[in-house]
Amino acid sequence: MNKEIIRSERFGEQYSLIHHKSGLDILIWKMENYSTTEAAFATRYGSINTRFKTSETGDFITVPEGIAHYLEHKLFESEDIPVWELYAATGASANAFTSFDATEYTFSTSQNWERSLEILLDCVQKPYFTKENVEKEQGIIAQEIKMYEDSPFNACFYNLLRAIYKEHPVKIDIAGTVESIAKITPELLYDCYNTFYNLHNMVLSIAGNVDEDKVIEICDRILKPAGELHLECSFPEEGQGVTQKRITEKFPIGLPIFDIGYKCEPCDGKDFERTVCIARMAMQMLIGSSSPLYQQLFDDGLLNSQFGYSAFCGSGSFFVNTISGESRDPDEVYRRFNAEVERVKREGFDKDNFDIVKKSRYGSIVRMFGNVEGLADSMTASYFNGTTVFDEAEALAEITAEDCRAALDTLFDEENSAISIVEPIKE
Amino acid sequence: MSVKYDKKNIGKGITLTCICDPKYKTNMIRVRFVTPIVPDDLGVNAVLMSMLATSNAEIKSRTELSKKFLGLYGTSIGAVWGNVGDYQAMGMTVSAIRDRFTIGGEVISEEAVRQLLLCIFEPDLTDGNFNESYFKLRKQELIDNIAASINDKRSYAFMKAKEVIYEGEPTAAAETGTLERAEKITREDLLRQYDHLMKHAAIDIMVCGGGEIDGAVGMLTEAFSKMERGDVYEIDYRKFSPAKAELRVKEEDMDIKQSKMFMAYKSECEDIYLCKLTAWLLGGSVFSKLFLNVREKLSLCYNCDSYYNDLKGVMLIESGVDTENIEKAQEAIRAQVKAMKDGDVTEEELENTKRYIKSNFMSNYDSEWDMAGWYRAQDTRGTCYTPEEVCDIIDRITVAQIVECANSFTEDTVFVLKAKGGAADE
Repeated sequence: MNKEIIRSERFGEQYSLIHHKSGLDILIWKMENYSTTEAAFATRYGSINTRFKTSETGDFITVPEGIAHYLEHKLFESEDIPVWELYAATGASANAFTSFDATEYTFSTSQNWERSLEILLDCVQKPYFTKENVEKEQGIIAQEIKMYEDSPFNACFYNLLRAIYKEHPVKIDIAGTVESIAKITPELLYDCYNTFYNLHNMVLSIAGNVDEDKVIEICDRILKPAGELHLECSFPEEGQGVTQKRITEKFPIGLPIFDIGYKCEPCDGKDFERTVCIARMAMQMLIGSSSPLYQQLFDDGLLNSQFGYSAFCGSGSFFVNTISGESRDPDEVYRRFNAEVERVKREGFDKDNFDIVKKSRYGSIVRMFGNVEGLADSMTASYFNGTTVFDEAEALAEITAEDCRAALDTLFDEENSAISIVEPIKE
Repeated sequence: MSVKYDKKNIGKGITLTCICDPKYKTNMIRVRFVTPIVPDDLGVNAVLMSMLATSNAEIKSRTELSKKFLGLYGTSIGAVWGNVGDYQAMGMTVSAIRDRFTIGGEVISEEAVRQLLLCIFEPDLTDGNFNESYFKLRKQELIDNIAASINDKRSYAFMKAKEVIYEGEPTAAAETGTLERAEKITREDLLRQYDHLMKHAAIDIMVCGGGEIDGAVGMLTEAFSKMERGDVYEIDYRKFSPAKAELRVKEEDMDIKQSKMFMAYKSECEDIYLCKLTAWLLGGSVFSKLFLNVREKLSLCYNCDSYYNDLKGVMLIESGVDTENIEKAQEAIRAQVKAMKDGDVTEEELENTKRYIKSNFMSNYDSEWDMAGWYRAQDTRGTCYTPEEVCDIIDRITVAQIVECANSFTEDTVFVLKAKGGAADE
């Protein structure tokens, strides 16, 4: 076991990275005077990992859509006492999440975190799948899928992904479909578990009120050493271009909602941190609340306060810059945004506005250092990306207005973009 | 805990609460005007607050004001409005990183507060009236928001359920008012309401954060203590919703996949934390009766939660279910409520729920937003308990009290936003 201190001189903050003998890496951020302990035990395994091979499987195998999420549900079940009941005796709030490229098991507590950590490590290492308990879960997950199907925002976003991605499994709903989850069996769940829940593919992040020695003592006691992992995930060739430029659906809603997306090349490591930072700053300057375009769109009644933008991305696998909102005429918003990108490509970003946006990003990073849950999440995300929590700030310090302008060609290429609109059903 | 709490009166019907813990990285300042809910004023308040928070006499453009705050290290300013019991609370919130975390120790807190005060005391008026084109846009935005309230099916269902649960009470009104009223709002309505709030609303100001904000607090105190005030509303947030003579059931159809169901139980029990603990034990955690039985054993729904509204004395049970399972889910929920009334509550269940709720309460200390919310809720109850003090109250509650409390609740209303079945797409 060895330990690294990851430190930022700029912010005077630090956390530890411990390479545990079991094969698991552990990240610990002790926050003085905080009450809460937030822990996340995470695996690099999400809804996009539907085709993979290991030395055990031989050839690539393809598993049903939604299986990562299904597995997440089933790990809360054990052979003897349900995990819920174990947590119940600690006072902790426990939860689990599946995203496109990761699954996390978390707890948050302000008392007896040691016992909660024991439960967390133990339950994730003890899968218990039977025909009966797998079948029972189908009803619950089917209800969850239906709940999301009633969301026009969800529909709008997934339609955008389907319009943008020709082949990549990011276009598939995280929970799968009622039909796809019906194909899930205990054997398939064990195949996925044995592949992706190897400790070499996982990380434990803990932030807040925590004692490092105690964490290691618990890990020494509970973690079972993992064998070497030879995992290869396969993704179809995606390439440039989109499937369709415009996609619509109708819902019982009051005002059209939209998502505009620009597909970019995926990247990872420090390049990922820098690109995400540039994308966010560029969107803030192009269409954020302080931009001339936003003012025009607002004045013309084309945008309201229900508006946002983000870099939707997974390290090394997918990257889409999105603009979302409500509008009477989403196509006009799309047209004007593209025109604004072209203008800025020619004229560059306003230097004063760039400095303001840079300060604002700096402020957001400072805020994160006071957020226990945010830090646990951030440690996990940067670890899976091969970077540290501080790399975004380091990238930010170096980025110039010209860098942002130069990136427009690749970050907001109209040819690689699409719009998804959910329109009201007319009575 | 190292939190300092101080609340004082700084003017007629104006309180200033300062909550400080040096571990916080930011300071949050919230100014709220509180008045009884007047349905005709709800939309006016929404438009007024959104106008005040996005311009002032010095910076008239929304974009320029936004730029000003971004330049203060991403300081945020936002309008807030919402129903709190039978009252509406509205105003503005500013959140800024502490001066010590800016590059070179730049002082930003005072400029942030100066701009906030300009937004409140010196709005953008021309010839004594609000900017007309800006007003039209904001009014249209309100109309759009009311139309868009149907977009989120869960919150739409909740809004419709409240109309039935609180029928005849002010809190039944949607927070943005009606479409008909929104279409008739004028600039004169805004001016009238602005004057009304400044003179008659109760005003609560909260500063919560890491501190080093004395200058800004001084500016707030000076500005608000000088206000010319008339008669100020006496605010008494707790007013229990009267129980209906018989169970009211209402359904509304919609083209959705999953039905959204709300079951409301009412009680005259005055003990807030006893009622809260009862609701948490029933359906406030993943080891609660509703979760373990209705979701896990019967697989009837993905979510089935209960929570208690202490201002109205109402416990709500919310779930999303297949239309064909609505009756089964209602039976299953009623069976769990009955079990509690019949005394099926173990010491272990109670202790587990206590631990869970206490851990949640203590976690409030780690966020200035949560701490502000904590003391705001205390205000509505006329108390200023710390989380530790409430944990002590919770610890003293017994199984017998929980059973007695459960028996004080009667089923009052069932509202279902019912899936008509089939896909909603073309």
